[in-house]
Amino acid sequence: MKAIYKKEMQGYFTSMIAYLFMAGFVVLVGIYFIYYCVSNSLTDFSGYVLPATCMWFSLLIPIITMRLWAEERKQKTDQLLLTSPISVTRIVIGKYLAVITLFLITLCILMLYPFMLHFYGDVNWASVLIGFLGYFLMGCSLIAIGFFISSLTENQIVSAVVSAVVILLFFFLNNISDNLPGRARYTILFCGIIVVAVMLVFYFSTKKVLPSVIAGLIGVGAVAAAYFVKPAIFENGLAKFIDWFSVLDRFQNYVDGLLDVSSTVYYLSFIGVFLFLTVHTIEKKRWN
Amino acid sequence: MIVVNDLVKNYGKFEAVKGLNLHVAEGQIVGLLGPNGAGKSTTMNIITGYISATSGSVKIDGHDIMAEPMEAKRSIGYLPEIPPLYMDMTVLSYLKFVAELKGVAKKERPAEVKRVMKVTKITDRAQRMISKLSKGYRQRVGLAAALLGNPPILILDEPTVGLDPSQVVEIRELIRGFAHEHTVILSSHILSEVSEVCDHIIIINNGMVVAEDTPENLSKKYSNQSHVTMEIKGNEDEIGAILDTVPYVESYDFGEMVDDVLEVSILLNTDEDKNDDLFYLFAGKKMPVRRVSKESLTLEEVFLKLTKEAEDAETLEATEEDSETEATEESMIDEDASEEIENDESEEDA
Repeated sequence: MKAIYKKEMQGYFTSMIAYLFMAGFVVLVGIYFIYYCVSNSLTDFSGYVLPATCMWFSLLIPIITMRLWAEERKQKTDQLLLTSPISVTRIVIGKYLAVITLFLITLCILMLYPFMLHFYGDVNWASVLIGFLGYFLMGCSLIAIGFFISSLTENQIVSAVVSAVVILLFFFLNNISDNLPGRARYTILFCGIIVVAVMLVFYFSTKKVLPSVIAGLIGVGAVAAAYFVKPAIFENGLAKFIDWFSVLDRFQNYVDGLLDVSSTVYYLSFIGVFLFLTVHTIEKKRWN
Repeated sequence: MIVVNDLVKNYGKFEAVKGLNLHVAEGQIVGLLGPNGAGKSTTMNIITGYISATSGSVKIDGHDIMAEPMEAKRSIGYLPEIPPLYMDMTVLSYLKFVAELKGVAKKERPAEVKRVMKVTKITDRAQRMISKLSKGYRQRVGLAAALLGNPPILILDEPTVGLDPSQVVEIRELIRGFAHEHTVILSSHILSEVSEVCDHIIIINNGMVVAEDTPENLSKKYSNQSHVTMEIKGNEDEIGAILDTVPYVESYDFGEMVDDVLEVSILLNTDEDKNDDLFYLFAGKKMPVRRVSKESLTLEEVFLKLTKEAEDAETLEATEEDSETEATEESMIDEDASEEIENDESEEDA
């Protein structure tokens, strides 16, 4: 794990990527900093600048995540990693830690902006730090998505473009969920689609009819049971479901200066899920 | 040391490996020989744990590659067909990284890296970027990486493919140099390479083992055919008419005619010595025989015969022989051409 971590860090800093990423962040955040804080004489860095620059994650994060696994597959160096006495989980964690270290270094540089404000006015350091924590956790979640997408392809460009689109989509989830029909029957229809999808996944991975049907029946049973026990959860269920994926929503809490434990747990589990999916995708490629 | 049982690998509907069995004893240098697409790389990728088999088992030194991957992988040094090199690293930093990845203890790492660089003769290139190295040197760096940690088993997938002739000789020398300290599986589609380096040959074709023995036994075992070359004074019609009546003559070809003496090469379906028989046959018809000589099938012919048999099973034996000789010539030409192209590339690289 340490070997992978060191190699990745070395790779970032011997190529242009690390500098490109850091420079991109510093310049973009700097523009917003000048607009909000300098021109308007505001010291609330985490309240204005950080939320405003979130959108740029969709452009900057793919720079550091696109090559993570796509490049290894393209250059066939995954053959070295996967035949070495080290588990895929450790490879993935080693790589992930390297990316977030790079991100963390960038955030440390960004801290210079509120530090500059410190000389000209009162900076509420607690809220700035909490804001940065939220910024970091949200970035880490999006990096996990980028990593996952990189494990799906061996083409870096495809990986970058898909990651950018997916990250943008995650930012727009709020707008999408606001415009969804709220009635319970749509939620039930959606649950039905999910159950059918699960059945198909079962069928294609096992090629057996019986377990797929059983899985389907369990799914239908669960939905029916939930409906009879507590029909209320189906009201606006679709929007609730989509909101669960909205990383931007949670970030608002940190911007407001709240050190929200549930949001922190949410981000950590979000990262965990996507890293697990990455490991699973890499493992699965070996079976095909 | 390496036991492979009933290995099957399907890519969708395509069966790359069909029930392959391998037993490699400790200290053996085994050559895995087969035409391109026979399933050599797939087999090696499964043995090293890079991909998993559809069914069947692989045991490395008693450890199952699926159940105990860490133990099994620790005893293998693998050089894939394309050496897995990071182009943006120097030779030294790459080898240090691989040593750490393979779990070589921190104290021993510098000495170990130095050792493999010495064995593969790349010490003078330690500070060079891998992207600036020629193909031959990249292959050596790949070999050095495989040797790190001194694993008891080495698996080398086509280690000389795409190199120019002098590089091929160098790499072969290197392999021969360290091979006796390891159990080695080496794959190739070039027979001369395998018979030169290995003490045991496994010929695979269409995902199955078709023959397995020492190089000498292999050519002995499969030489139930033989070539006889004769020089007879006479014309084609007369000689042909006589040969057509002989039951053990499989086919014949006429060569050059010099001073009324015609050269005939005859393929017999037996390895017994029929020289006297053939001599008296023509002598009886008052046709002077100037020369009779018999040769067993070369290893090359055995290889071609074995790998062709499966494909041409239905076609007539006579036409099979013709197509074999044609295919030999074709593949030889192909090989030369592709080698030339690759040489050009590597020169450009350098």
